[in-house]
This record gives sequence, C-alpha cells and structure tokens, in this order.
Amino acid sequence: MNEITNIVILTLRICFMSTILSSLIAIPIGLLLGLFENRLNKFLRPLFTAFTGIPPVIAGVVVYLLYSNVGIFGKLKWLYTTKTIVIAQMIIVIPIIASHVFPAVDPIRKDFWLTSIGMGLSKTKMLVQLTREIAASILAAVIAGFGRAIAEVGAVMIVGGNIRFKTRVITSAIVLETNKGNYQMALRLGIVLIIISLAISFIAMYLSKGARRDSIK
Amino acid sequence: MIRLSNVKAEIGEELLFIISELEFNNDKSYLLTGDNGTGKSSLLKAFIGEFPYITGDIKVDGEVIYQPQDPYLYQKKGKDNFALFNIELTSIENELAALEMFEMLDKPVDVLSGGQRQKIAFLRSISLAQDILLLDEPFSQMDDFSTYYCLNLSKKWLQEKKRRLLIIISHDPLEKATFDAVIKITDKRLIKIQ
Repeated sequence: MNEITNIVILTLRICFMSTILSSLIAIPIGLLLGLFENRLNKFLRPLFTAFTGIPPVIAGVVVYLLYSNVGIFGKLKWLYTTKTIVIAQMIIVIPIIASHVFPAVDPIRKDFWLTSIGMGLSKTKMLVQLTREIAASILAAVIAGFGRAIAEVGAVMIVGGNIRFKTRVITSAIVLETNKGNYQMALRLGIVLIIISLAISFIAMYLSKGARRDSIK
Repeated sequence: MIRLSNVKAEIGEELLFIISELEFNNDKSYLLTGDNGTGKSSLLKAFIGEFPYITGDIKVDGEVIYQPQDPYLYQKKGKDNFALFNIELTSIENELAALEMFEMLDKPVDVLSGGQRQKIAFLRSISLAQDILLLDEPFSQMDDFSTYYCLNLSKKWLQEKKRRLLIIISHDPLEKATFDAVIKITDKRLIKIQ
C-alpha cells in the first residue's frame, strides 16, 4: 500500500470513528437541549454554541496534558496514538453537532411538546420520535461534524505526533510535506482532501433531499 | 372528574381569571367558551400541569387526553400518527370512511389541509381517551359535516363508558343544547350559562 493510500485510509478511519462517537453523545444532548425548556438548558445552549468556536489547538493541548506521562490518563499510554486524535476531534465535533441539532427543535418544540404530553407519550418515546421529526437536520449536523473532523490539523498534530503510518493524517501530512518543500505530494494530498470533502457534502445533500422527499411523498 | 378550588391564573401583573369552586363532573360534557385571551386554553393546559402561572388546588381524577389548539402531527404520514400510539386502523374504519380519511392516511402530514390535520388529530385523541378528554378548538377548520360528525362522535364516546368527562373549547356556536353545561369565562370569572 503506498503512503497516500495509507494516509487516506487512516484519516477516514479516525474521522468516521470520532464522528460516530461524537454523534452518539451530541445528538441526545442536542435533543435534550432542544426539547426541554428550563433554566439549565437556557444556560447550556449558548455555552455549546460558544464551544463551536473553540480553537482546535486548545483542545489538542488539553488532551495532550491529560494523556502525557504527567497527566491523569498518562498511564494509559495513549498519547501519539489514533485514540487521542479521536478524543481531540470529539472535543471539537461534539459542540458542533449538538449546536446544529437543538435549533432544529425550535420551530416544532411547543406544539410537539404539548401534543406529546397531552397524548401521554413517555419522555423516552418523545425523544425517539423527535429524532424522526428532525432526521434531515440531524444528518446535516453529523456531516458538518465530519467535515470539521477531517479538516482538523492543529490538535491532530499535537496529540498524534504526525508519526508515519501510525498517526499521520491528510492534513498533518500536507503541513509536513509543505514544510519539507515537497509541494507535489502536498498538492496530491490536498486534492484528495478536497475530493473527500466534496463527496461528503454531495452525499449529505443527496441524503437530506431524500429525507425531505420522503416526508413529502 | 376535575375539581378546582381557589384557583387563580395570572401572568405577571395581569389577572386572567379567578375560580373559587368549580367541578367538572363525570358523565358530563362541557362546552368552554369566552372571548379571545380570556384564558380558556390556559385552563385546559393547567389540567395537565402545563400552565405554570396558576395557583390553587386542581384535582384531576382520571387519565387525561388533551388535544391542544395546534395539535402536532408526527412524521411522516397520516397513518403513522395512529401507529405511534398502537391504534389499529381497523378499529376506527367506520369513522375513517365517514370522514373520507383513507386517502389522507398515506399522505405525508406536511401536505394535509388544516381540516384534514384536525380530523387525524381528533380521531387520534378520541381513540386513546379512556377517562377525560380535553379538546381545544378541535373543529375550527373542519367543514360542517365533519364538525357535527366529530361532535356526535365525542358525545358517543362519553356515553360508551361510565365515569368519563368531556370538555371542548369552541368559539363556534356548535350545538350548545347538546352539551350538559356551557361555561363561559367572562370578567375574569367562570360562569355557568347553561
């Protein structure tokens, strides 16, 4: 397997993993933040939105400190592995997905809530049903999260160490090859990154159109 | 049965209504009426604990099904709104036929008219209700035939079983005479006018 293929496969593996894990956490958080109108949620909503703008290098430094030898998780020896890259990406992606989900509940919250409570629907069933109601928005949120993960470079380099065949992803490889003056390789990787990003965007558009088409059929 | 005692509803400084004592009794149908903004919908919401600006004692004896003024229809199709609550369509096929609803069951809820949406919401509510049925302007967008068919259906529901209670909010005249009582909110008080 040549180096570019290895980098692309590793990048996709890491980004899919971090997006899936982030979605499992962020979607329920987004639904809870969107559905329940209380003081805590009124405080948490702007907080999550603010965290979407967190500089990724800060997430990288935090994860680095936690997993370095002197950090509280140092014994795990996860630093400079794909695990810490996934964790750093999750810190960045979770607020992005959650803050895309809860505004999607806004337009339907009042009527959905009153009807569901009035019909005796349990809170669990309400949350499951709410996922169906805003499925297209949730899909868009997940895609936005994946896009953010695959474009990430600062945090990935700090916690991954950019180790060849181990933690070198497309973005960190582009930085390295550019610094080395190997612009041909950097451009090749850049083109691959653009193709992946565009493919993800088109798939997202196709799926969300499909979701909308389903609801209008 | 729903019993209200020393109930006061006020939003900030604005008093909506005061009720010293009032009982909505079992086996009775009530039409709740009054001008816009007098607090009819707020009173029904209070019965399910969804109106926070109310004080006093509200005792609700029985399982409540409440249909708000703008009932939500769940995605994607009309029939999904029955499936979600395990309502068998075969159990309401006469009603579906009378209200010409078979076609709309397979349509996405987004394309249904206001009246069609109300028919689905009403049948969904009445199919689920066991003890107490609270309906907030359930027929406001229905045609005349559907309105009176659904009104009769709700009366039939009331008589089918003992210890049931029906409260409907409406601005339409409906058939006031067919209700056991008509209650109007006027001058911030509830008055039994029939």
